[in-house]
Amino acid sequence: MTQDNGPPDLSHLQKRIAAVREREEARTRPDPAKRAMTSGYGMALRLAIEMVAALGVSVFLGYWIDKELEMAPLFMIVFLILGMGAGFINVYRTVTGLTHGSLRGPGDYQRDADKHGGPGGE
Amino acid sequence: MASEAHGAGGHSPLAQFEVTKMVDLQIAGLDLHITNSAIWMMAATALVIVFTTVFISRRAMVPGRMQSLVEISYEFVANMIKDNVGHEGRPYFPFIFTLFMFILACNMLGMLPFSFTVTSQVVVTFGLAFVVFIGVTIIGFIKHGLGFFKFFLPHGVPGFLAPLVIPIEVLSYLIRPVSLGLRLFANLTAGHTMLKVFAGFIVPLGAFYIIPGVIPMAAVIGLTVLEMAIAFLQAYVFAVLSCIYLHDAIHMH
Repeated sequence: MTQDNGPPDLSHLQKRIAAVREREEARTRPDPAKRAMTSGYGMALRLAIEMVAALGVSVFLGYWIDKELEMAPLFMIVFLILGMGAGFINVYRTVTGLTHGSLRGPGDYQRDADKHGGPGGE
Repeated sequence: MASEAHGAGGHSPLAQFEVTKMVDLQIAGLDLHITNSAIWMMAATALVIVFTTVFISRRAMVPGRMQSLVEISYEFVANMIKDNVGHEGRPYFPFIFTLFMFILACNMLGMLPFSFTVTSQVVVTFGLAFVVFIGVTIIGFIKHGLGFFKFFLPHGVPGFLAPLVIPIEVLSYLIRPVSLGLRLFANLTAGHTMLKVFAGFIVPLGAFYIIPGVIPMAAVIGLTVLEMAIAFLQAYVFAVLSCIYLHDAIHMH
Protein backbone atom coordinates (compact mmCIF):
# COMPACT_ATOMS: atom_id res chain seq x y z
CA MET A 1 0.00 0.00 0.00
CA THR A 2 2.76 2.36 0.93
CA GLN A 3 4.55 1.27 -2.23
CA ASP A 4 1.49 2.18 -4.26
CA ASN A 5 0.99 5.41 -2.42
CA GLY A 6 4.46 6.70 -3.15
CA PRO A 7 4.33 7.50 -6.87
CA PRO A 8 0.82 9.07 -7.02
CA ASP A 9 1.74 11.29 -4.08
CA LEU A 10 4.86 12.44 -5.87
CA SER A 11 3.04 13.09 -9.12
CA HIS A 12 0.47 15.07 -7.20
CA LEU A 13 3.29 17.08 -5.70
CA GLN A 14 4.78 17.48 -9.16
CA LYS A 15 1.47 18.85 -10.42
CA ARG A 16 1.29 21.31 -7.57
CA ILE A 17 4.86 22.42 -8.17
CA ALA A 18 4.12 22.87 -11.86
CA ALA A 19 0.99 24.88 -11.07
CA VAL A 20 2.83 27.11 -8.62
CA ARG A 21 5.67 27.56 -11.06
CA GLU A 22 3.27 28.49 -13.83
CA ARG A 23 1.54 31.04 -11.64
CA GLU A 24 4.89 32.44 -10.58
CA GLU A 25 6.01 32.69 -14.18
CA ALA A 26 2.81 34.40 -15.24
CA ARG A 27 3.34 36.85 -12.41
CA THR A 28 6.97 37.60 -13.24
CA ARG A 29 6.93 37.28 -17.02
CA PRO A 30 5.55 40.68 -18.10
CA ASP A 31 8.51 42.86 -17.22
CA PRO A 32 11.03 41.74 -14.63
CA ALA A 33 13.16 44.86 -14.75
CA LYS A 34 10.16 47.11 -14.39
CA ARG A 35 8.85 45.07 -11.49
CA ALA A 36 12.18 45.54 -9.77
CA MET A 37 11.86 49.24 -10.32
CA THR A 38 8.34 49.64 -9.07
CA SER A 39 9.28 52.28 -6.54
CA GLY A 40 8.96 55.78 -7.95
CA TYR A 41 12.29 56.76 -6.43
CA GLY A 42 14.09 53.96 -8.22
CA MET A 43 12.44 54.79 -11.52
CA ALA A 44 13.24 58.48 -11.17
CA LEU A 45 16.88 57.77 -10.34
CA ARG A 46 17.12 55.37 -13.25
CA LEU A 47 15.73 57.84 -15.77
CA ALA A 48 17.90 60.64 -14.41
CA ILE A 49 21.00 58.48 -14.74
CA GLU A 50 19.98 57.54 -18.27
CA MET A 51 19.72 61.20 -19.24
CA VAL A 52 22.92 62.27 -17.46
CA ALA A 53 24.89 59.40 -18.98
CA ALA A 54 23.64 60.28 -22.46
CA LEU A 55 24.64 63.93 -22.17
CA GLY A 56 27.92 63.13 -20.44
CA VAL A 57 29.03 60.60 -23.02
CA SER A 58 28.07 62.70 -26.03
CA VAL A 59 29.60 65.92 -24.73
CA PHE A 60 32.79 64.08 -23.82
CA LEU A 61 32.88 62.49 -27.28
CA GLY A 62 32.28 65.82 -28.98
CA TYR A 63 34.94 67.50 -26.86
CA TRP A 64 37.43 64.78 -27.70
CA ILE A 65 36.75 65.02 -31.45
CA ASP A 66 37.09 68.80 -31.20
CA LYS A 67 40.46 68.42 -29.54
CA GLU A 68 41.66 65.95 -32.16
CA LEU A 69 40.48 68.00 -35.14
CA GLU A 70 40.97 71.41 -33.52
CA MET A 71 37.53 72.59 -34.55
CA ALA A 72 36.76 74.19 -31.21
CA PRO A 73 33.07 74.09 -30.32
CA LEU A 74 31.54 72.59 -33.46
CA PHE A 75 31.42 68.88 -32.61
CA MET A 76 30.65 69.48 -28.97
CA ILE A 77 27.50 71.34 -29.94
CA VAL A 78 26.55 68.77 -32.58
CA PHE A 79 27.07 65.92 -30.14
CA LEU A 80 25.24 67.75 -27.39
CA ILE A 81 22.14 67.94 -29.58
CA LEU A 82 22.52 64.32 -30.73
CA GLY A 83 23.09 63.31 -27.12
CA MET A 84 19.83 64.91 -26.06
CA GLY A 85 18.08 62.89 -28.73
CA ALA A 86 19.83 59.68 -27.68
CA GLY A 87 19.07 60.40 -24.03
CA PHE A 88 15.39 60.88 -24.75
CA ILE A 89 15.31 57.69 -26.81
CA ASN A 90 16.96 55.76 -23.98
CA VAL A 91 14.57 57.21 -21.41
CA TYR A 92 11.64 56.41 -23.69
CA ARG A 93 12.84 52.83 -24.13
CA THR A 94 13.38 52.43 -20.41
CA VAL A 95 9.81 53.49 -19.75
CA THR A 96 8.19 51.47 -22.53
CA GLY A 97 9.60 48.60 -24.53
CA LEU A 98 13.10 47.87 -23.34
CA THR A 99 12.01 45.80 -20.37
CA HIS A 100 10.57 43.20 -22.71
CA GLY A 101 14.04 42.52 -23.96
CA SER A 102 13.33 44.23 -27.24
CA LEU A 103 14.19 47.63 -28.51
CA ARG A 104 10.88 47.66 -30.32
CA GLY A 105 8.32 47.75 -27.61
CA PRO A 106 4.59 48.37 -27.63
CA GLY A 107 5.09 52.08 -28.10
CA ASP A 108 7.01 51.71 -31.32
CA TYR A 109 4.22 52.63 -33.69
CA GLN A 110 3.85 55.82 -31.74
CA ARG A 111 7.61 56.33 -32.06
CA ASP A 112 7.53 55.72 -35.78
CA ALA A 113 4.67 58.16 -36.06
CA ASP A 114 6.73 60.67 -34.10
CA LYS A 115 9.65 60.15 -36.44
CA HIS A 116 7.44 60.54 -39.48
CA GLY A 117 6.07 63.70 -37.97
CA GLY A 118 9.59 64.91 -37.18
CA PRO A 119 10.64 66.41 -40.55
CA GLY A 120 7.45 68.43 -40.68
CA GLY A 121 8.55 70.28 -37.60
CA GLU A 122 12.09 70.83 -38.83
CA MET B 1 31.22 66.78 23.89
CA ALA B 2 34.43 68.06 22.41
CA SER B 3 35.59 64.59 21.53
CA GLU B 4 32.25 63.80 19.93
CA ALA B 5 32.40 66.95 17.84
CA HIS B 6 35.88 65.94 16.82
CA GLY B 7 34.67 62.44 16.01
CA ALA B 8 31.88 63.79 13.82
CA GLY B 9 34.21 66.22 12.09
CA GLY B 10 37.05 63.77 11.65
CA HIS B 11 35.02 61.31 9.65
CA SER B 12 33.58 62.67 6.49
CA PRO B 13 30.68 60.62 5.12
CA LEU B 14 32.83 60.12 2.05
CA ALA B 15 35.85 58.78 3.94
CA GLN B 16 34.44 55.27 3.59
CA PHE B 17 35.06 55.35 -0.17
CA GLU B 18 38.76 56.06 0.15
CA VAL B 19 41.00 53.49 -1.50
CA THR B 20 44.06 52.84 0.65
CA LYS B 21 47.16 50.77 0.14
CA MET B 22 47.07 47.71 2.38
CA VAL B 23 49.89 45.45 1.19
CA ASP B 24 52.95 46.62 -0.67
CA LEU B 25 53.81 44.26 -3.46
CA GLN B 26 56.55 44.77 -6.04
CA ILE B 27 56.99 42.09 -8.70
CA ALA B 28 59.62 42.62 -11.40
CA GLY B 29 59.50 46.37 -11.00
CA LEU B 30 55.73 46.48 -11.30
CA ASP B 31 53.78 48.22 -8.54
CA LEU B 32 51.19 45.60 -7.71
CA HIS B 33 50.20 46.87 -4.28
CA ILE B 34 46.97 45.49 -2.90
CA THR B 35 44.36 48.04 -1.89
CA ASN B 36 41.41 47.61 0.44
CA SER B 37 39.27 47.54 -2.70
CA ALA B 38 41.20 44.59 -4.06
CA ILE B 39 40.99 42.79 -0.72
CA TRP B 40 37.21 43.12 -0.58
CA MET B 41 36.92 42.00 -4.19
CA MET B 42 38.93 38.92 -3.34
CA ALA B 43 36.71 38.38 -0.31
CA ALA B 44 33.63 38.60 -2.54
CA THR B 45 35.14 36.13 -4.98
CA ALA B 46 36.06 33.76 -2.17
CA LEU B 47 32.56 34.08 -0.73
CA VAL B 48 30.95 33.20 -4.06
CA ILE B 49 33.31 30.24 -4.55
CA VAL B 50 32.60 28.92 -1.07
CA PHE B 51 28.89 29.54 -1.55
CA THR B 52 28.66 27.64 -4.81
CA THR B 53 31.06 24.79 -4.08
CA VAL B 54 31.13 23.97 -0.38
CA PHE B 55 27.44 24.43 0.31
CA ILE B 56 26.45 22.23 -2.58
CA SER B 57 29.09 19.55 -2.03
CA ARG B 58 26.69 17.18 -0.23
CA ARG B 59 24.35 17.05 -3.24
CA ALA B 60 21.43 15.87 -1.16
CA MET B 61 18.28 14.81 -2.96
CA VAL B 62 16.31 16.88 -0.49
CA PRO B 63 18.43 20.01 -0.11
CA GLY B 64 19.25 21.55 3.23
CA ARG B 65 19.03 25.27 3.89
CA MET B 66 22.34 26.24 2.34
CA GLN B 67 22.09 23.93 -0.64
CA SER B 68 18.58 25.22 -1.21
CA LEU B 69 19.89 28.77 -1.23
CA VAL B 70 22.45 27.89 -3.90
CA GLU B 71 19.81 26.14 -5.97
CA ILE B 72 17.45 29.08 -5.65
CA SER B 73 20.10 31.50 -6.88
CA TYR B 74 20.91 29.14 -9.76
CA GLU B 75 17.28 28.90 -10.82
CA PHE B 76 16.80 32.61 -10.32
CA VAL B 77 19.52 33.45 -12.82
CA ALA B 78 18.47 30.63 -15.16
CA ASN B 79 14.91 31.98 -15.25
CA MET B 80 16.19 35.50 -15.72
CA ILE B 81 18.09 34.38 -18.81
CA LYS B 82 15.16 32.30 -20.08
CA ASP B 83 12.78 35.24 -19.77
CA ASN B 84 15.06 37.94 -21.13
CA VAL B 85 17.22 36.20 -23.71
CA GLY B 86 15.37 33.00 -24.56
CA HIS B 87 16.84 29.59 -25.30
CA GLU B 88 19.75 31.07 -27.22
CA GLY B 89 20.91 32.55 -23.94
CA ARG B 90 21.77 29.20 -22.35
CA PRO B 91 25.48 29.27 -23.32
CA TYR B 92 25.88 32.60 -21.54
CA PHE B 93 24.52 31.36 -18.23
CA PRO B 94 27.96 30.99 -16.57
CA PHE B 95 28.87 34.57 -17.36
CA ILE B 96 25.60 36.11 -16.18
CA PHE B 97 25.60 33.95 -13.06
CA THR B 98 29.17 34.96 -12.22
CA LEU B 99 28.37 38.60 -12.84
CA PHE B 100 25.26 38.50 -10.67
CA MET B 101 26.88 36.61 -7.81
CA PHE B 102 29.99 38.80 -7.81
CA ILE B 103 28.06 42.07 -7.72
CA LEU B 104 25.67 40.68 -5.13
CA ALA B 105 28.57 39.53 -2.95
CA CYS B 106 30.34 42.90 -3.29
CA ASN B 107 27.17 44.80 -2.42
CA MET B 108 26.34 42.59 0.54
CA LEU B 109 29.90 42.63 1.91
CA GLY B 110 29.69 46.40 1.68
CA MET B 111 26.83 46.29 4.18
CA LEU B 112 29.11 44.90 6.89
CA PRO B 113 30.37 47.49 9.37
CA PHE B 114 33.95 48.68 8.69
CA SER B 115 33.91 47.06 5.28
CA PHE B 116 34.57 48.65 1.92
CA THR B 117 31.95 48.74 -0.81
CA VAL B 118 33.78 47.76 -3.97
CA THR B 119 30.85 48.65 -6.22
CA SER B 120 30.96 52.26 -5.02
CA GLN B 121 34.06 52.70 -7.18
CA VAL B 122 33.40 53.98 -10.70
CA VAL B 123 36.39 52.02 -11.96
CA VAL B 124 34.90 48.73 -10.85
CA THR B 125 31.37 49.31 -12.12
CA PHE B 126 32.56 50.76 -15.43
CA GLY B 127 34.96 47.85 -15.76
CA LEU B 128 32.10 45.39 -15.35
CA ALA B 129 29.84 47.40 -17.66
CA PHE B 130 32.44 47.61 -20.40
CA VAL B 131 33.15 43.89 -20.16
CA VAL B 132 29.45 43.32 -20.85
CA PHE B 133 29.38 45.95 -23.59
CA ILE B 134 32.43 44.68 -25.46
CA GLY B 135 31.38 41.06 -25.06
CA VAL B 136 27.86 41.73 -26.29
CA THR B 137 29.12 43.71 -29.28
CA ILE B 138 31.50 40.90 -30.23
CA ILE B 139 28.68 38.35 -29.90
CA GLY B 140 26.50 40.52 -32.12
CA PHE B 141 29.15 40.68 -34.82
CA ILE B 142 29.82 36.94 -34.59
CA LYS B 143 26.12 36.10 -34.91
CA HIS B 144 25.22 38.56 -37.65
CA GLY B 145 28.51 39.56 -39.27
CA LEU B 146 28.34 43.00 -40.79
CA GLY B 147 24.56 42.75 -40.69
CA PHE B 148 24.85 43.85 -37.08
CA PHE B 149 25.21 47.40 -38.37
CA LYS B 150 21.52 47.23 -39.36
CA PHE B 151 20.92 47.36 -35.63
CA PHE B 152 21.52 51.10 -35.81
CA LEU B 153 18.72 51.74 -38.31
CA PRO B 154 15.38 50.60 -36.88
CA HIS B 155 12.76 49.20 -39.26
CA GLY B 156 10.33 51.67 -40.71
CA VAL B 157 12.58 54.68 -40.63
CA PRO B 158 12.39 56.54 -43.96
CA GLY B 159 15.67 56.77 -45.83
CA PHE B 160 16.06 60.52 -45.68
CA LEU B 161 16.01 60.38 -41.87
CA ALA B 162 18.89 57.88 -41.75
CA PRO B 163 21.62 60.55 -41.42
CA LEU B 164 19.88 61.79 -38.29
CA VAL B 165 18.74 58.47 -36.83
CA ILE B 166 21.96 56.52 -37.26
CA PRO B 167 24.18 58.88 -35.19
CA ILE B 168 21.54 59.00 -32.48
CA GLU B 169 21.21 55.21 -32.45
CA VAL B 170 24.99 54.75 -32.36
CA LEU B 171 25.23 57.23 -29.51
CA SER B 172 22.42 55.56 -27.62
CA TYR B 173 24.26 52.25 -28.06
CA LEU B 174 27.51 53.76 -26.76
CA ILE B 175 25.71 55.26 -23.79
CA ARG B 176 24.42 51.92 -22.55
CA PRO B 177 27.59 50.76 -20.77
CA VAL B 178 28.00 54.16 -19.13
CA SER B 179 24.47 54.25 -17.79
CA LEU B 180 24.83 50.60 -16.74
CA GLY B 181 27.96 51.32 -14.72
CA LEU B 182 26.76 54.68 -13.47
CA ARG B 183 23.51 53.22 -12.14
CA LEU B 184 25.25 50.67 -9.96
CA PHE B 185 27.83 53.20 -8.77
CA ALA B 186 25.30 55.97 -8.04
CA ASN B 187 22.91 53.75 -6.13
CA LEU B 188 25.58 52.24 -3.91
CA THR B 189 27.45 55.48 -3.28
CA ALA B 190 24.32 57.51 -2.59
CA GLY B 191 22.94 54.87 -0.24
CA HIS B 192 26.12 54.45 1.77
CA THR B 193 26.71 58.20 2.01
CA MET B 194 23.16 58.72 3.25
CA LEU B 195 23.65 55.97 5.80
CA LYS B 196 26.82 57.61 7.07
CA VAL B 197 25.27 61.09 7.20
CA PHE B 198 22.35 59.87 9.29
CA ALA B 199 24.68 57.83 11.49
CA GLY B 200 26.73 60.99 12.05
CA PHE B 201 23.70 62.65 13.66
CA ILE B 202 23.21 60.00 16.31
CA VAL B 203 26.01 60.85 18.72
CA PRO B 204 25.89 64.68 18.51
CA LEU B 205 22.11 64.71 19.00
CA GLY B 206 22.15 62.00 21.63
CA ALA B 207 24.83 63.86 23.58
CA PHE B 208 22.56 66.85 24.23
CA TYR B 209 19.49 64.90 25.17
CA ILE B 210 18.94 61.22 24.70
CA ILE B 211 15.61 61.44 22.84
CA PRO B 212 16.65 63.32 19.65
CA GLY B 213 19.41 60.79 19.10
CA VAL B 214 16.80 58.05 18.82
CA ILE B 215 15.31 59.57 15.67
CA PRO B 216 18.40 59.28 13.43
CA MET B 217 19.07 55.88 15.00
CA ALA B 218 15.66 54.69 13.81
CA ALA B 219 16.34 56.25 10.41
CA VAL B 220 19.65 54.39 10.17
CA ILE B 221 18.00 51.09 11.04
CA GLY B 222 15.38 51.69 8.36
CA LEU B 223 17.99 52.77 5.84
CA THR B 224 20.08 49.67 6.53
CA VAL B 225 17.14 47.48 5.54
CA LEU B 226 16.58 49.65 2.47
CA GLU B 227 20.26 49.40 1.56
CA MET B 228 20.10 45.60 1.80
CA ALA B 229 17.21 45.68 -0.66
CA ILE B 230 19.10 48.05 -2.96
CA ALA B 231 22.20 45.86 -2.77
CA PHE B 232 20.20 42.95 -4.11
CA LEU B 233 18.13 45.01 -6.53
CA GLN B 234 21.12 46.64 -8.18
CA ALA B 235 22.86 43.31 -8.70
CA TYR B 236 19.62 42.05 -10.22
CA VAL B 237 19.16 45.11 -12.43
CA PHE B 238 22.73 44.88 -13.67
CA ALA B 239 22.27 41.22 -14.58
CA VAL B 240 18.86 41.81 -16.20
CA LEU B 241 20.16 44.66 -18.32
CA SER B 242 23.12 42.52 -19.37
CA CYS B 243 20.60 39.89 -20.42
CA ILE B 244 18.58 42.46 -22.37
CA TYR B 245 21.66 43.71 -24.19
CA LEU B 246 22.57 40.12 -24.94
CA HIS B 247 19.07 39.57 -26.31
CA ASP B 248 19.42 42.60 -28.56
CA ALA B 249 22.75 41.34 -29.87
CA ILE B 250 21.43 37.84 -30.55
CA HIS B 251 17.99 38.67 -31.98
CA MET B 252 18.47 42.21 -33.25
CA HIS B 253 15.08 43.78 -32.41
